Amino acid sequence: MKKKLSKSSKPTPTATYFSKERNYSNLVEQEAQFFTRLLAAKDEFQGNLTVRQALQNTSGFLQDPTGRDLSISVSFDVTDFRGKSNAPQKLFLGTRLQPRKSTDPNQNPQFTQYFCLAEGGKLLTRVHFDREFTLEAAEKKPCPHIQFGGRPGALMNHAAHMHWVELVDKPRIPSMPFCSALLWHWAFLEYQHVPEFARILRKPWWNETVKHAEASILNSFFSDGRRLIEYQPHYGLLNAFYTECAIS
Amino acid sequence: MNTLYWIDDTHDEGKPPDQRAKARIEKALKIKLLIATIGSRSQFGELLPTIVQEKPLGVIMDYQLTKVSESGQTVFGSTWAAEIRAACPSIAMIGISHELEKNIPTLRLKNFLEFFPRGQLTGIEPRFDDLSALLKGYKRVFQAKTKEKDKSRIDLMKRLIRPPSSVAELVSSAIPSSLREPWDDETPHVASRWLWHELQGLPGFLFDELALATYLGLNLKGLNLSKIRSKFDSARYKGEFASEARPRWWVASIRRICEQVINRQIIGPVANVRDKLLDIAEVAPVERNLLLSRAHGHRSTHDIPDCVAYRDDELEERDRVQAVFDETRVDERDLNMPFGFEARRIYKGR
Repeated sequence: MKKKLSKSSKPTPTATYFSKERNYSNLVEQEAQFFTRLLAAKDEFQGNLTVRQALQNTSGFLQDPTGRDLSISVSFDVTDFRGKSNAPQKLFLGTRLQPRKSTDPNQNPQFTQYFCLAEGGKLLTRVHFDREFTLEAAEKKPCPHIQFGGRPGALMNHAAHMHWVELVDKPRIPSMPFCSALLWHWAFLEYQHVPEFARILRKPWWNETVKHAEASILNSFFSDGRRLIEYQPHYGLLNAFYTECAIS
Repeated sequence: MNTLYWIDDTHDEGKPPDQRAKARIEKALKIKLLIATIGSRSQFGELLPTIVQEKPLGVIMDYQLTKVSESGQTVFGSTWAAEIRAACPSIAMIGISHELEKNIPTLRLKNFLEFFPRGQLTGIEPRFDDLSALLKGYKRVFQAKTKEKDKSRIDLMKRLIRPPSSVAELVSSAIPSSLREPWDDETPHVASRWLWHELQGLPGFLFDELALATYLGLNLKGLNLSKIRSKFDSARYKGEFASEARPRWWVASIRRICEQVINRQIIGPVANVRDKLLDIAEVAPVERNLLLSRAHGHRSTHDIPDCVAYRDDELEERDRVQAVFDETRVDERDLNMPFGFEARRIYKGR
């Protein structure tokens, strides 16, 4: 049962993350804006062929974000900050977006971001960030969540993909929502000792892009979460990750 | 009145247009057609200054000029086309031949703005709309080069293309580097070829009729219902070289139009709402099966095709079919497509 809010504290209509913001079209519009900005600033990544190649593949998606798939992966050379390993490492960042293909409402659109670290042919870390859209699915999952295995699709390059453990479904850790802009920014922050990332992090256009993504993706999530705890504690924030929650 | 030259050899196989065909071309294009039959290199040498002085809208040039060289061998019209363009770059060069286009070396073809099998200009259903679009389009591209000398080349191309604002930047990204540099006399030819053969000729930014029908989940008959087709008029490509006989629609505009037509948002394939479109067009349920797209190799319309593919490696335009993406493969010649363009696909079977 919903708890009535006082008139003065009534939320704005946009602050509805736990009920309506799971809308695929809003999310892919944000992705389209990010990749459009990246395309305009592609010279910033001039030496990185994987970024250029990935951007090559965005054109169809950018023209029809809610209709087309997007499946891209980029890789960056990174080093271990503490010097535990002297071997060069590869950081893979991926995005996989796929609208529901058929008219079957149970088919789940895909909205996933990947972070994967490999050293030579050896996988060191792999996580993916998932949104769930089929709330009536047999197995309830937190949305969004971070997962260490799962089904990555044919996204990562071969070396990383062969080490992905598809059998490991759990844990799915409830997470703040991610999008490609936030994933890339987070990865750059994690490896800000890498000169290429440090340079990007100083760029005004990049910080504008991240600011825009945060406003678009995180605002409703955090404001809803705060309101949920404050005004509708009987739902429970963690519970709300698993089920659609009607915040008035 | 604008003039158009038709240069042919004197050999029997050449068959330049007879009086009737000439009159038909002149009427359709509203031009004066001058036919020049050439028997030797020296005759071409004498004709060239006249052409340069006259500055015709275009020259239609036979690709294979039989027994024209001094040794009686065949001369390629593509070589003379390059000569004419070098002498007078404002002239659009159009190639014709009995020879099939696929048998002509690509580099030679590139000396022409477009190449027509001879029968497509003199036959029963001549492609006059296309020819007219080519001649007028080339003239405007050349004028733009002259008039807008100091403006940004990207802006110039955008003015020629007139993309919807939502994809203007994306289209800019696709403009090849050779067209971003200051233009010289040959650049209008290169730009025109790009506009005609790549922007309008390859999948990526624009749908042709079959691709649009496929996107909507219909066949060509379904698309051509006036109550359906007219809905997409605002998405038509109206930039230079737009031709009524070769219509194109901006990919980026179609979903929004469909959403407006059925009054709700569409996530995923637009083809999934094809019945709604047919509702709007007031097509009775019993008539619908004849208007729906059907995947090549499938008996029913149940599996909705989601791409257009060539039936085989020959890549003949007339052999394109509506297909299920997973039943097609990329043509290996298109593995390294320029930005914004999609590889052509070939049906591989179920």
